[in-house]
Amino acid sequence: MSKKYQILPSEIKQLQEEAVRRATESVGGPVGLYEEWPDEEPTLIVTEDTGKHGRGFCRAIWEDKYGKDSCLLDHHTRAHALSQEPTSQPISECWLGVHNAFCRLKENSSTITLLGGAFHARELKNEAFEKLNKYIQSMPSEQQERLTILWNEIPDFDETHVINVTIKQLELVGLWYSFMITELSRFRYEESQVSHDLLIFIQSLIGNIETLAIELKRSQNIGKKWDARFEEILRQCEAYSGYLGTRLGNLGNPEFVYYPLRSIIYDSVELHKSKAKKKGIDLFVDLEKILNDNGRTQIPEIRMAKDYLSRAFHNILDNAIKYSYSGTAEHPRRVDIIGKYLVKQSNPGYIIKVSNYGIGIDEDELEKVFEPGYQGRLRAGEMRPGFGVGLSFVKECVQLHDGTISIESHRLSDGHAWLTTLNIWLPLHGPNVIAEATEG
Amino acid sequence: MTKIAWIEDDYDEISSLVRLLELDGYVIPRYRTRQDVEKSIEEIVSCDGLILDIILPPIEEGDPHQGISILKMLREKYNYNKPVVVCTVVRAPAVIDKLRKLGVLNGNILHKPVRPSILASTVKKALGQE
Repeated sequence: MSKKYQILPSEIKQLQEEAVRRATESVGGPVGLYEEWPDEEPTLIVTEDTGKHGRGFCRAIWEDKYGKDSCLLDHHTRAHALSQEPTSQPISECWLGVHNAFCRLKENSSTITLLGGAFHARELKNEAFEKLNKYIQSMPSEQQERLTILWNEIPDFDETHVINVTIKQLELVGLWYSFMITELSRFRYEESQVSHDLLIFIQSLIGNIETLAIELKRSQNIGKKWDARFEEILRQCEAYSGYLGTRLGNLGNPEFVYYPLRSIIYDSVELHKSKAKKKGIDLFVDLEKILNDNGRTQIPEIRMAKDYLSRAFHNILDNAIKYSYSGTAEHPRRVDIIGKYLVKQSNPGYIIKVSNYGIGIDEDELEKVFEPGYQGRLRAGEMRPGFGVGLSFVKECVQLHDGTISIESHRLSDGHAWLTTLNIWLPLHGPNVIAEATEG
Repeated sequence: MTKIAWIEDDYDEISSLVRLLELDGYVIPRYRTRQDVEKSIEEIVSCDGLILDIILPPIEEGDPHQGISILKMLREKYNYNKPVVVCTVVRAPAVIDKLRKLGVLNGNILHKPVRPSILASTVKKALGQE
């Protein structure tokens, strides 16, 4: 299966940004990574934080918006040109006469061009200065002097150094990037294979169970107890496979439709019931009904990207149970899921509060729990399981719906457990309602 | 006797999926790969309908959904207009859109895992037998 189809666009972007960061550190100047996939617009990732690693001259140019924009456009144009027509000349000159090295890698389906490293090719320096001269002509003399000094501070390299050092550094980064893409796509493929195999196993279970139930029914009367048992097994399998389906990598572009919120929440509860039961935790759900347009009171339908919100609630309940203390006869434990109608800034919505009693979160960690990869500080004797990805996805999903999310955590009076509550507010009519109304 | 061709690479593992149809007298010849389909194309075209998986071997770079290519080939080369029920794990909107453009009705796209009773009733409805 194609590498590209296996990896999330956000993961590719992260790898590209890391590659650019590494290249910038190695070669000491802004670097652009230019990638072209068949049938897609090429992407350019360029050093944003040139202040940290770039040359003083490049930093000075980027102070000015026109200068920065011109640099980015120049990078893009040259990288695109270099990716189209291979050349034996490894040096490219920027719009201000600074020289860059470049290398080009062809990886199965994509072409990667790396362009960067700010230096002067000795042999071309005098001619290159003319470009700077032209740019600074209309500037005050003080500024002209400053930029000229900075320009001259850029190191001179001969062609041998460019080929043996700068380009090698870029090539190393290019090889690292392409290795990471290969490894990640292999991992994702295997991960999706495992999930696919599990789904097929579950399909086999569901097929066999239902067929058995129907064959038994047709051949003899089976009691309501067995009927209910079969039905429960089938529902558990379906809930688990729904969860598995939403874990299969890319969710695709979100499509917003009106869907009953109760289904999202109750499906998630169903899935996590047995896990909660093993820890002695009750899952308590109380969702407020509201009056709908037909004059009936019901738990509302919300305009949502169903697969995204479904995964978000799986993550929320997963976390809530994971970080909850186990229930005992002395300290029974609950995870509460409470939903209420709430209008925010004239926008009708629904707030869902998920609370647990457990490890808790220190005040200075509260916002960090939404950061990708954040796993939390260890307290003495406490363990934080997991990989720190659940709540960052939940936050992204809520923001996708133009909702809000916050978290509170405080120690209870018993001195041991903490009550932690995740508050999610979602607009009933989904994102961009005002924009759509205006356009309509 | 109603014959429904079933194109599915995991048909050994999930044979129970079509069991109810078989109990009701339907004959379900099976085909695992694109090559199997190409070898038996006349037989498939002569069946009363089709149950189709999407991800089928060979899984090729750039074309992971052989089922869609097969359906396209049936439509274009054989003018195939018999009922088609797709049964797949794939949910990506772009892929589902391709199926709709190939004339597969919304109600005839089922996502695994699916209950045999639902597959059976969908097939019968598609054939106008329910």
